Formats: sequence, C-alpha cells, structure tokens
Amino acid sequence: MKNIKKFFVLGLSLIMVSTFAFGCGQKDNTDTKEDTKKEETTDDTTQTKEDDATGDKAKAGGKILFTMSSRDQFLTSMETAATKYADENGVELVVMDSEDDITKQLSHIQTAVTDDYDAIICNLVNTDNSAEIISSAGDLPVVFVNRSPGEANLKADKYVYVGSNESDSGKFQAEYLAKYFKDQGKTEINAVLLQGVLGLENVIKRTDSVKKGLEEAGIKVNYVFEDTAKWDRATAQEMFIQFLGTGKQYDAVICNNDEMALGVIEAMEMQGVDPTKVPVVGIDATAVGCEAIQAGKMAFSVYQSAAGQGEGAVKAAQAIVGGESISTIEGANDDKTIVWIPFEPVDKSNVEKYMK
Amino acid sequence: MSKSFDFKKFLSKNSIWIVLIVMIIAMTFASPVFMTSGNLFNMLITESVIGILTMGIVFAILSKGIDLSPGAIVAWTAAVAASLAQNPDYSDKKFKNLPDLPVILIVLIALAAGTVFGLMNGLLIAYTKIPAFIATLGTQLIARSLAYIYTNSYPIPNLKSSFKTLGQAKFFGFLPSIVLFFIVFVCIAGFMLTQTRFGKNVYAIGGNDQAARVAGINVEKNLVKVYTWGAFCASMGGILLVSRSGASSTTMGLNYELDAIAAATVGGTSHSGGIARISGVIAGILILGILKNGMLLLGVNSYLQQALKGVIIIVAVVFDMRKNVKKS
Repeated sequence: MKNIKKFFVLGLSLIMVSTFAFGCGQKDNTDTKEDTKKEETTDDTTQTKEDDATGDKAKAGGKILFTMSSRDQFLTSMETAATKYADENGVELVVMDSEDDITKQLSHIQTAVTDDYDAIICNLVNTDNSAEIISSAGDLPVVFVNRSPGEANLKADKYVYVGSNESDSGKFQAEYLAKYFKDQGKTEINAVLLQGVLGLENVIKRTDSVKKGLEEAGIKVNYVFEDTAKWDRATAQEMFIQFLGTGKQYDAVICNNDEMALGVIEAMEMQGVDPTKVPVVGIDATAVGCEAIQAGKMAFSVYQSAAGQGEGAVKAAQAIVGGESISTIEGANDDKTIVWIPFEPVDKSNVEKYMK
Repeated sequence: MSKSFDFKKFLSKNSIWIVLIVMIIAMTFASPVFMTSGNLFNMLITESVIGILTMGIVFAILSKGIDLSPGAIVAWTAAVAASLAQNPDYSDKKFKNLPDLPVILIVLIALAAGTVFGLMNGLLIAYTKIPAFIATLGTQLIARSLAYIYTNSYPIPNLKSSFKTLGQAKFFGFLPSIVLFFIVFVCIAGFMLTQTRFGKNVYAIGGNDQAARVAGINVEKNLVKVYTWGAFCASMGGILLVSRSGASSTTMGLNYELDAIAAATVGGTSHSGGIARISGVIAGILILGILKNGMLLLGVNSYLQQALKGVIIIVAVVFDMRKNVKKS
C-alpha cells in the first residue's frame, strides 16, 4: 500500500514537472514543429522525385541538415537568416540543436547519413572534433559555419568553411585606436584589456590581433590591467569598478565583446567617470552596443554578420549539392575551401546602418 | 586555567576568522590600495549577490542536501525583472504596451517567479525522495532554459532609473544598497538559524533525519521551507544584480551556485549535514572575495587565478574536517 502511494506521488510529480517544462517550452517548440513540417515536405519531395523520376536534386535545392552547437543571440540570428534564405530558395533545411554536446552533434551527423540528406551544415560544438565529424559524415559534403574546423581539415568544394576571420575584428579595433591616438599625437598608451572565456579560439584571435595591430601601427601599449570577464556584462562591471579603485591611469579600454564593454561603461557611470573621455571598444555590434555608440558612450565596435554567415552557409551547401563550386560565391578564397564573410567596423559615423 | 582553555576553544571555533585576518594583513602589505574604504566597499558590492545566494544555500547544505539551481534562478528572475522595468519611452521594449509599473510590484513579481522553483525543489526532494543533487540540477536546467526562451537569449537593456536605484543607491552617503541587502539577508538567515524552531529543525534534520522524525519534526515540511528560502534568496540576488548592472543577459549568474557552495564550505558548513554557523559562512564569503579582489589588485595572471581559488577551497576544507574529526 505504502509503495503504491509512493509511486503515485512520484508519478504525479513527474507529470507536474513535465507539463511545466513542456508548457513553458511551447515557444521553443517552433523548430520541432518546423522539423515535423519539414518531414512532411520530405515525403512530398520523395514522392515527386519518384513521379518524374528525374531526381533533379539541384532543382529541388537539396535536403540539408544544419546542426547548431547551441542557441544564443548570435547563433539564433544566424539560424533565422539561414532558414529564411533556404525557404526562399527551395532548399529543404532541417535545423537541430546540439546543446553544446559533441555526442548529440555526432548523432545529428549520423542522422544525416542514414536519412539520405545531401549535405550537412555544421556549427561545431568543439573545434577540435572536426576530423571526427568529417569521418562520420561519410560521403556527404560538410559546410562548417562560424567556428572553423582548422585549415588542415578543409577540402575544395567538399569540406568548406563559412565564417568571418576573427583576426580581422581585433585588427579593426587596433586601427581605430591607432588613428584615435595618433590624432592626439600619442604613441604610448596605457590600456585595459578584458577577454572572453579563456582558451576559446576567438578569444585568442581577438586578443592577439588587437595587440599585434597596435604594435604594428607603432603604438606602444602598456597593459595596466588584463583579465577575463567571461564575456559577461555584470562580471566586467564589478571588475572594472575594482580596477577604478586602484587609481591606475588608462587611456583606452579594449573588450573582446560588446557586453563587457557595456559593463565597463556602466561601471564608469556609477563611479562618476565620463565614458566619452576614454575610448571603450568592443566587438559584435549588438543592438545594445550600437545604441551606446550612438549615444557616444562606446567608441567603436566590429560587426560580425550573423545573417551573412547563415545565408553564406546555405549558399555554399546549395552550390556543392548542385555540383557547382563555391568559388562563385562572393568572398570565396582561391583554394575553394573558405567563404569569408567580412567583419565591418562600426563607429558613430555609420552606426545607424547597423541598427534596426 | 579555565580561562586559557576557553581561549583555545574560542580559537579553534573561530579559526576561519583567523585565516581571514591573516589574509587581510597580508593584502594590506601587498597592495597600498587594498585597505582603502573605496576598495573594500567595491569588494563587498561584488560579493553581495553571491553572499545573498550563500545565505540560502547554507540551509540546503545544513539539511544534508545541496542546491544547484540558484545561479539559473538569478538569470531567470533577472530576465523577468528587466522585462518589466524597461524605460517606458524606450522604443525597443520587450512588452510594447507595458505601463510604468511601480518598482515594488516588479520586485514582487520577480520574487514570485523565482521562488516557485524553490517550492518545486522542496516538494520534489521531500515527497519523491529523489536526491537533492538531481532535483536541483533539474530545476537549474529548467530555469536557465526558461530564461533563454523568455528573452530569446537577447539582453534586455535600458532599465528605468527608479528600478536601477534598488541596486545602485547609497544609504547615508556611503552604504551601497546592495551591501545593505546582503546585511539584511545575513541577519534574517542568522536569526532563523539560531532563534527559530525552523532553524533548530534544520540542524536536527541534517544531523540525523530519522532521529528528527522520531522527535516529532515534520521533515518534509521543513525541507520544502529550506529550498523555498534558497530560491527566495537567489531571486533577490537576480533582481539586485540586474538592477545594478542595468541590463539582463542569459549568462548572468552562471556558476554562481558553485561560488556560493564554495563560500559556505570554506566557512565551515559540513556537507555531511548538521554543522553550520553564519559567522563562519560570512568569513568564507569574505575570504573568497578578498582572494578575488587581491588577485585583481596584484594583477595575478588570469590563467592562474582559478587554480589559486581551488587550492584555497581544498586547504580550508581539509583544515575544517580535521577540526571536526578531533572533536568527535
């Protein structure tokens, strides 16, 4: 009797939790719905294929699986653009979320192989696993997007990469700062540098390229404070308040992303420091970042086109499936292995272009 | 004779405070900025949110449980509070037709939205008997995912100044409101733990839940209270954090629960249940805070910082365990 009661309670709470989870998850279910919708269309396409027996994949646009590492603001914009482009161009795109789990991503790849997909678009969970992904994909072409698998793993018109060159973002920051200080006749400055999560490829590239860029421009930089704020606004804010407490002089604040730059600005405002006096530079040109640039609080940011990358990935996949070369796409390199989606510098003069 | 014995006992009981004092002295010599009121307040402000979370998590650990959900609850309540507190004239508001809500109402809604998760934790742990680790891991995932869904992982910026005052105001010209909230939560937690029947019950449950049951304590009801309180603390932490930083983002509060668990543990809270003192926990919070602040002031390499934190946590707990072993 007692056991029955126990099971009853357990069952009831399970139901409670699951209804709660699913009930709230309704908004997120859009892509599941989309998946089912896509599945229906799959049946249709196979039928039409059988009907006219031509099997013209290029005409149908192909069936492509897009495995995402996870969903954040940037990746969601990328996904939206990819889906939109695919819809408009008759490409059948099924999006799956790996939730930052490499095992899940590999199972998506296997699904693509067994379910007769024509190509895979892969936003890597971990850039070190690209060889594994390629070997699991068998004969299917793979378009890596946003996170590079490393040049050694690329192969012309088969395993290609669509993304922005992270090293350019730091270079743009360096160019802006170099001009800013040269106009003032300064060649030696004190700077604060806040980095994203340590060890990530883009953190290393963004940091190295801004340092190298400033050095090459002939600006001698003394880094009075350099630490990681883990991409996070609140963390950057607390850190910078504590740094301000040290009373050290600084001429510029360089951040690996906009969120941290905004945290720095918030800290300055709280401590009564005027953020317009010192250039605070970020990367990403997020909506909030652009507002801060327009208000003159943030000096500069670099725009990485999420939509451009999403669209570019589908274009590349479409070209490969259709038997064409990616060299027809703008930004492709000579080796036919990479399509570069350019970074764009954003400051007060052109910020309006990047605001909704 | 009896006097010197008392002194020894006092020392061993408060050894964690001695560690703290040694750290403070060392830091004062190492950095001229450390002992300035500005820096000390900045350090306190930074630790306040985690401190408030710790005041909740202590109860869970004391009852021989654990709570992994606070960090995610911070993100969730921060999102809820921010969405309701955006500047009325901001063009890109989350809720276009939202009237200008009074701050107290925003706080109450966000508190309710977050505390629900504690209630869920408590009910799951008390009545289904699943381990606290699993139950709160589940709610952690649900709460953070809810924050993602609710915001579509976009930050919610441009909060109105009346709401930002909550976390940015200064009382009497020097006491930051966020630190005041921390002090209030310390007082509430200390009072509950030492002066109320609920506190004594939690000690008893953590020491031996079967014995507590035999003694007539309603274990289930008390466990529900423990986790509800934990989520309440986390919700307040989330509201304060977002009002202080002026915008919510879904990365907020990431791994805060681990910092809170570390602070409680360094402060002498035993993971085998039944042992905790608020004074020790405060020392734990301050030790980790000073460590963080000190490494920042001294410019310790960011790769090395994590390792130093790890060493401190392990050493503190090893010492504390030895003390408890000697006692028994």
